[in-house]
Amino acid sequence: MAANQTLTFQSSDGVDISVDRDVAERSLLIKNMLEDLGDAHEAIPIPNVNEAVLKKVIEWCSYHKNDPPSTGDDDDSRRKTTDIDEWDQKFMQVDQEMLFEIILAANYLDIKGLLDVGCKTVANMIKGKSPEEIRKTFNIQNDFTPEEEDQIRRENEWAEDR
Amino acid sequence: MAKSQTGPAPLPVEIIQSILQQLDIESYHAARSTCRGWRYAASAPCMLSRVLQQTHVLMPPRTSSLTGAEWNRYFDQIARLNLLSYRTNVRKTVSELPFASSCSPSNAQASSPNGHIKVALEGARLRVYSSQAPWEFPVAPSLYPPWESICGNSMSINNSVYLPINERYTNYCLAVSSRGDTLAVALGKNIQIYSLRDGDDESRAAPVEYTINQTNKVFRFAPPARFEETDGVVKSLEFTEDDALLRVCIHRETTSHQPSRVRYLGNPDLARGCNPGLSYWKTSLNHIYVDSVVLALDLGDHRGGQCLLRGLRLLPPSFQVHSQHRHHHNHHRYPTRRMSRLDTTTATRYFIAALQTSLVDSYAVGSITPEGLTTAGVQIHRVLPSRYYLPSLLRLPGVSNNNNNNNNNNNNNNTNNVLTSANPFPSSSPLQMYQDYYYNNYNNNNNSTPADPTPGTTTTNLRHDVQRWSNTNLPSATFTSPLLATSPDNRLAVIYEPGGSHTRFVSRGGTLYVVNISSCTSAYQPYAGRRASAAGSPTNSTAAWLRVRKEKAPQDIIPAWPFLLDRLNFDADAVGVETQQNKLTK
Repeated sequence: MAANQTLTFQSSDGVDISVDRDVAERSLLIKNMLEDLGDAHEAIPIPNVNEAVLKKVIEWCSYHKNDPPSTGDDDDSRRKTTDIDEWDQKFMQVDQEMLFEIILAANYLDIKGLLDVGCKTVANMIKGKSPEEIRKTFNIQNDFTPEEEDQIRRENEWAEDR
Repeated sequence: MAKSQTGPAPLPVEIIQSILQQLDIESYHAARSTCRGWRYAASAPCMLSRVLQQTHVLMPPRTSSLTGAEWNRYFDQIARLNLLSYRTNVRKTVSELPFASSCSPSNAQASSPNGHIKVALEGARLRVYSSQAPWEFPVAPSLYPPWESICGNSMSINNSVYLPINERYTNYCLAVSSRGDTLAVALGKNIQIYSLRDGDDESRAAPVEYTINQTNKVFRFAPPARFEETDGVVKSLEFTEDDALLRVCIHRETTSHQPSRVRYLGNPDLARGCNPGLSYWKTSLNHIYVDSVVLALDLGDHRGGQCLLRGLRLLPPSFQVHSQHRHHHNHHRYPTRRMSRLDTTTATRYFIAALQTSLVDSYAVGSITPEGLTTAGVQIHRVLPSRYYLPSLLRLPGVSNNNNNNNNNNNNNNTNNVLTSANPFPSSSPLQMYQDYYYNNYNNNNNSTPADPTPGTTTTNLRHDVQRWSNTNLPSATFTSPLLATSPDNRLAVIYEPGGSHTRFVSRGGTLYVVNISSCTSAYQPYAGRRASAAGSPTNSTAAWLRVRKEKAPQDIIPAWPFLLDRLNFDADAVGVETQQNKLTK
């Protein structure tokens, strides 16, 4: 009924972006908010998400706007496969920083499907890599102290406990 | 959510955890070591218990059964015993053993372990290559079978009475001691020991000699009545234990123990504190320190059935094994040995071998305890998982089978045949990225092999993404002459099974597996020490286990799963493990 209604999102860097309501409702945060508030006539601030990321998120929501809603009991089905459909794979071909931003935005906006795809993408990028390679891939700072590092090495390798 | 100005925004713990839940346990283990945030997320007991369901270890019935620290310790032990961080960090290098230009691969050759001394058989002369100019000396003619037998054999091909059939397949075997001063040469049943020391020139005309079926011999471990002397021929020679023992692989036997056995010659008690030279071998070469058939008969006597030990290799005297059950460790001590060389006469020696009985085909760690101690005899302490022997997880008394299945969609984790069929785990990854990091690097020294026909830097497990937790990728332990080697630190064993193993129709090549053989006391004690005797005390259950059912096997709480390292396209004569710590490439 309200399918054609257009909403306006305001990104953290102050850019207004208009979104169809049915696209915006892929976000449970927005959906619940709209249900609580009724119609929103002013721009909705999305304080944690900048323009570039918000546009990506909206792109994903537009493509997936007709997906059936995810069931609550998704735990097992999610574990079984790390397959990602082709469009999503292409969609996720972004640099690591954007990937994490998308995941954080999906988490904040409560978009389960997108969060899932993001996590799977990260998981696939981790597979088969050594800790050092994972750090390099995701620009993760090795913040272990030398003592902790030493302990990890000993745990991983030959520490003997009796 | 606070974002750091430099570097990426940190992901919240719950997101890291949902990423971790998508990972196979090897990647999980790597991700857990990247930084504090990921380690924290990956160390929660609920996460650990979930990811551990991918492995085949005994799981505590409830997440709350262990404390957080215990869960982490348990995970680390499992990671270590299953070599989780190793499989994906392997870099394969192929290097040829350099040899003198006058030799071809068809010459019998051997070199000392450090490679400084090399000996090649050229015609009937042994040529020694060292830092000085090569020198040579003739083989003592007594190595060869009596000329009448050869002559008679070649003259009347259809009448082979002169030469037993297995001796027609003899080949030369050479071995150089680790100090490079002793040489062993074998042909058929005859073994000769030469001194390569300066000034021993005259002695080389009359080497110390031994014939593997000769009658005057001294057994350290008395053979039972059913023991049959070998009629096979020597397949390979190797000096071990500081050159005090000569390991002899014998094959082409036609006795009831056919076709292969391993025998250690020497009397290390006499070699104590001195460099075993020719005079040592004069008195010790007819001493049989260990014969795999004697051990197998001793094991088999407990059940009256046949039991075979193939490819047996003595573990160094420093090797120790203890049960993963704390109860045993405290109250039912294994005979322990000290490093002192004074007690070698009463010491328990450990070995690794392929154990083959009517119920079990598997690699096993066992011990030999000499007479006079309460636990005298041969025992099996650990049985490693193999393709045809999967350890049945210990069943907990009074714990319903459903407990393990909470998070694990119908994975029958508690039944005996857990590992056979449907694998609910995330399939292990495309292991395309690999690098030799500062983890150890295993070099497979394939003796006298020509260049790898398909030189490459990828091992099979990386190239074909071999499933880690599938029993089809375990060694089969059914071969008569597997090759075994252990690392200098006693932690790793490398198993080479000939014949392609996975495709039994391949006539050449074989498969290499790596397994951890070290011990630990499991952080999870399923019986809390109370019912440990029911869990197969290795000191009293060997007999029962061989006789009754494999459920009675010395059960590990954490089975150490071998992993398939590589398949080779050529036949390996020997395998070895070298450790290179902190090796960085290029």
